Amino acid sequence: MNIAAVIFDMDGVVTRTAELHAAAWKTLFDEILLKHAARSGTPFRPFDIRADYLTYVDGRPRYEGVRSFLAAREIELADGDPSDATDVETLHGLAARKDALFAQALQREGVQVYASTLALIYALRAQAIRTGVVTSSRHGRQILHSAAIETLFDSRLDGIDLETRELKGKPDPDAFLACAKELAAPPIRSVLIEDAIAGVQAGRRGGFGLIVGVDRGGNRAALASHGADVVVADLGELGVADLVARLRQGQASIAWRIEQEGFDSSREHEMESIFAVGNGYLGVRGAPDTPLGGSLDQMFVAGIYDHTQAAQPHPQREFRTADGGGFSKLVSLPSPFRLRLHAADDPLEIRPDRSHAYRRVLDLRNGVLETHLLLNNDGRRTDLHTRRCASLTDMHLLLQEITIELENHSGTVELDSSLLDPRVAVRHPHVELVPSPCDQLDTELLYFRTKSSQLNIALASRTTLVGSEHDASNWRISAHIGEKLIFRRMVTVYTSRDATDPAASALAHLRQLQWSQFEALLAAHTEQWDNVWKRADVRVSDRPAIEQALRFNAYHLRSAADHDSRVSIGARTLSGPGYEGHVFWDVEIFILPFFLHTFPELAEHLLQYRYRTLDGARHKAQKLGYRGACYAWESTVTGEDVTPRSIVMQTSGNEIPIFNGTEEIHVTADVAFAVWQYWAATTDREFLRRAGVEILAETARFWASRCTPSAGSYHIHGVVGPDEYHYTVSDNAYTNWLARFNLEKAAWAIDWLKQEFHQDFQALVERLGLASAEPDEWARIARELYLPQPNSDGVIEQFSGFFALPEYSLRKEDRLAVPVNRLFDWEQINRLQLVKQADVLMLLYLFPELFSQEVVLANYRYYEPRTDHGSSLSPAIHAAIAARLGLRADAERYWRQSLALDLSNTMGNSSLGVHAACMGATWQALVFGFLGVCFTEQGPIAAADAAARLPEEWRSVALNLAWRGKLYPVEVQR
Amino acid sequence: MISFTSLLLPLDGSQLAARGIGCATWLASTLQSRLHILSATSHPLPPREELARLRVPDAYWSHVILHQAPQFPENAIVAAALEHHAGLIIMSALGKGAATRSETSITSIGHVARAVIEQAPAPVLLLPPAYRESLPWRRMLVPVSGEPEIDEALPVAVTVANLLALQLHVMHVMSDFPRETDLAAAAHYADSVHHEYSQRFTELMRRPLTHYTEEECRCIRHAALAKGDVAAELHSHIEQQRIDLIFISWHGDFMTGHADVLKRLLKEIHCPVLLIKAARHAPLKLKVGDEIE
Repeated sequence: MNIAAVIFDMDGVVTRTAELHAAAWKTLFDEILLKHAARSGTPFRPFDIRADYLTYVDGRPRYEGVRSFLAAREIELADGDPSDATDVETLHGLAARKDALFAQALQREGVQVYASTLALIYALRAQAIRTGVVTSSRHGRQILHSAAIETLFDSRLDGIDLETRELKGKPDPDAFLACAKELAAPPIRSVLIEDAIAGVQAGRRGGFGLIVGVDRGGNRAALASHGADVVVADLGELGVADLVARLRQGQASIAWRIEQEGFDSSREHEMESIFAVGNGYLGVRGAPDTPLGGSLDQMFVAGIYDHTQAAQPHPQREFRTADGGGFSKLVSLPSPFRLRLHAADDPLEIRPDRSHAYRRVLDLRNGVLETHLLLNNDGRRTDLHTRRCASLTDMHLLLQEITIELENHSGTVELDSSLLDPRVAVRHPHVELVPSPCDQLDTELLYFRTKSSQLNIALASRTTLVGSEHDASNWRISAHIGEKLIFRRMVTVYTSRDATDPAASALAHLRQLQWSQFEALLAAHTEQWDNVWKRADVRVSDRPAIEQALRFNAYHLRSAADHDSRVSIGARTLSGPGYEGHVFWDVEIFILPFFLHTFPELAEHLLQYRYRTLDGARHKAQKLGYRGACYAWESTVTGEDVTPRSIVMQTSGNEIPIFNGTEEIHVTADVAFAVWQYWAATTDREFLRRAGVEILAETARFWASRCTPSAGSYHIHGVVGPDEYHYTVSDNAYTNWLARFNLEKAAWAIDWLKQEFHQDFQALVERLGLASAEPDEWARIARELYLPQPNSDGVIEQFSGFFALPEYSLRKEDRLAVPVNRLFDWEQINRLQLVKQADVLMLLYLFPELFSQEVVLANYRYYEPRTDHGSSLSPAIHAAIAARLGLRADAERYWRQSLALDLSNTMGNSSLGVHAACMGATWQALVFGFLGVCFTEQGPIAAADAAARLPEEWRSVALNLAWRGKLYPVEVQR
Repeated sequence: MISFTSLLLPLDGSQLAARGIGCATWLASTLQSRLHILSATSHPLPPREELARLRVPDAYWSHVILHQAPQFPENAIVAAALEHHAGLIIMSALGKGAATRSETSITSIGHVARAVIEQAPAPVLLLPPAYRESLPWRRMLVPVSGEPEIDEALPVAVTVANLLALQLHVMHVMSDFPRETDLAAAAHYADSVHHEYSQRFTELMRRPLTHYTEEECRCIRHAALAKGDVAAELHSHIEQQRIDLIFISWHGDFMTGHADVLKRLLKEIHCPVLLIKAARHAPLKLKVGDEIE
């Protein structure tokens, strides 16, 4: 990666004018301070040419400098007008006077330059690297001209340019960004060299790839803490090669983090999902530690569900559905990280009327979320830095660290870390607070009970100030200017699903932990994440954005999975309330392969969940009038189907039937398919023996009773396929092919059990009342089941009658935008050739060995233009198929849509949580689409033409894949 | 942040403009605000006499600061709003000029009102030509679309609803003919009807209210989703639900091809329109994708 441009600050970096500026400021302010001291009768405290200069005025536009310093000294002056003369005592008048003082000094002293800086500039230009210079000084051009160095810069912006172009001064990045634009250089590939704190802040906000701080004395730590990647005393310490290397290093590092700069309240809920932390047992949304009034600062604990119809907010009353029962909604709990903070009586929180700088960084490598909030209240700057994680080594533990620094003022810091959200009844309507006294004064305990399911949840918390001897929820400390206060908090979470007395467990666990262990606990957590990446990381050479997005997806997938087979992964993980935390076919078809080939032990837990919920599936089959087990379309902890039958709009009275619960039965075969995939990838005999065979048998029984004989073959009527726009259809290709797979594998599995574990076979026969003829019957039905075949054009009809439906003209721009009339014209859409997501293509994706390339291509050409991708599951499957077909442009386009679905909020609904299945599908499209990996006895091998399938700008891809107990490296190079 | 400590009521001497007096004085009294009345008159009177002439009830005089001049053209109104830090300008969409126009040339908004809504630094409460006074207000409506700038009306409406103890109705009308911005505004509804429609509609309303607590949002008493002609659906809701005030955030351009819904509503409805000019949104940079390559 080359450097696109290097932008220099002028004063103090290129020219030695900083001393002249500082002297002019001192002359100006000392006059004012003397007058103020005389007027107020207070002692004269002169302007400190080093500390005050660096803190308040260095790098800022003059007016800002005057305002900032006087505010810090609590001197109030009228704003005045930019035309005020130098003798007028207003902010603008003083700014003009400073300008005049500087001009006199410049005239008197002349301009000197830093030779080392010039040497670097010459070296850069010798390598055709463009250079720019930016200064807030209105004398910028004059100074450059005097020093005869103006031709060394391809772009020059000074204070006059800033004013005429209405560019904001530092720490706003406007001017640097304008300079980068003039140089046609993307900021991320550019270097910024600055000596002022406000300048490095601007560089950070502007997203520059490398920010070099130049410390001309006493400013090193401040430059580093405000965003400089490297601080040098003089630019002689850095050559062009160093800059290139450091920029590359920065690129590699940024691919390990998701970073938000600035704050936009309208995108806050989306950010909360993206920045969620979790460990599979629990997940906490990434709301600020001092949340806003409308923050969705929620925690979700896997398996904690309650009834749907608690007190709903008004908007939801527009849509009424029948209550899905006591375990139908994932319950939101108060965030365990919430704080109330004040510094000098100012609340340390983001307010629309307050000046602030906000940065939120998700460190993917270590599974830690950091936030930085710099508040400026009339010149009083307070810095709040927090870190948090949900421990990956101790599922019940959350760690939080809060650092507060009163940068330029002194005052009282108050911290209230009470877990109790005073608005809990309104914000978390599914739980009630149960009084639960805690016998330890320094520990807080909160005890909740879900209203319908009667599950108990306990949170215990301790907070301490580093260096103090005790714990407390409330702190009130006098802090001096520049002093850093570090608080630490540990929270433990238990539920009645883990312990008979969750309160006692939470307290006991917390008491075992010592503050001296805090760093070690954090280190153990990060080490565990390091282990995650050893298995799950995907390296794409020179494509940091691709690596970053893949890591982001793997981070959220791993954060959603636990070693608890009583729960599975909800559609939006534990990062948001979307889909009520329900479990869909997403897990088995889209997510499981990721775990199967990275963390097979977690894949087993996900399948054990289906074994544990087999009774619910049996119940559903029975309710529908069939035998065996029909898995819930939407499942929670019991396996009962929680899909409603209809939804009614209150305003219009419009009732929309929901067919998924009764008709979208392919999920049953999907589970069986996943069982078989697991068996193939692990040869885990114990799993197949104790759980897998029973799942296969009971699901096969369902299909045997669900298939209808007619004219010498079996048919499946009244279903919804993966394309949910069409309901009550017959012989959906995907469903029929999957059902046949299920029936065949069940017959094989019963035979396998009989041969390998005869006692288990007999026990199973007895338990299920399995007739000896049943497995043969399954095999026969499998043979006679109608399977839609390619027609003369090679196209498989999605379901009986699909080809006869009228065409729907789908504009390209409407893809991923969903027909807005779905809610109102759902019947009409059922009668059109408009497909929501991969359906026939899904079949072709799962069974590549069964269909020729010609058939796959014919179906892709037919269905792709008819698909609007109304589901996040669709683009990745299209990418995989297109990659296998060698349609590189299509493959890359669809894959990138899928890759960045949450990071770019493509579907506009990431605020409800991240799209786990889409993340899993993206991974699959890379591995099984672009790389064309298949598995042999020797392990995974990439397709012979994998290098040619790679997106154009990729040089290589490397990852590890687990297969039958071993981890194999796979690398494809162009 | 919106503040209603100071209100401004420009009167050009016409009957149409004078219809704002009832509403303005009620607001000043309820909000405990100062009401600056700009009375255009070629014969200035002592303040008490002028207020009596304008039929400002005695009970409200303590809130009123009267300014008299031969005329208050649009730039004078805008300047007065700035000078008096007006949080709200109350004015009729049509004034004196309407009387001089032929019936066919009458539009929904006169040139003075148009200039003020385009240039004023404060929200404008605009009385439509067919305005019918209905005080005290009880219910108000805010349309939302998913476009952040447009949905800025919602937090202001919540503030006003709480100040005036009004019931707030929120409505999202999915247009039959969506513009690109409608589709890009993340207001479309996807995937499972029973999950996403409800949750996304909720989010559509929550998103502009990130700084507001649930308690503050309790004034939202009705939320509706509809599809069709946006202006017609809003008008229908106003009539059926007896709405007293509609809040609309707009981009500030009244030229042909812009603000179509607003223009239609001004022609058809009887209740006032509170116009909020969309502000530039705070930037947020997520350093992903092209941002880092």
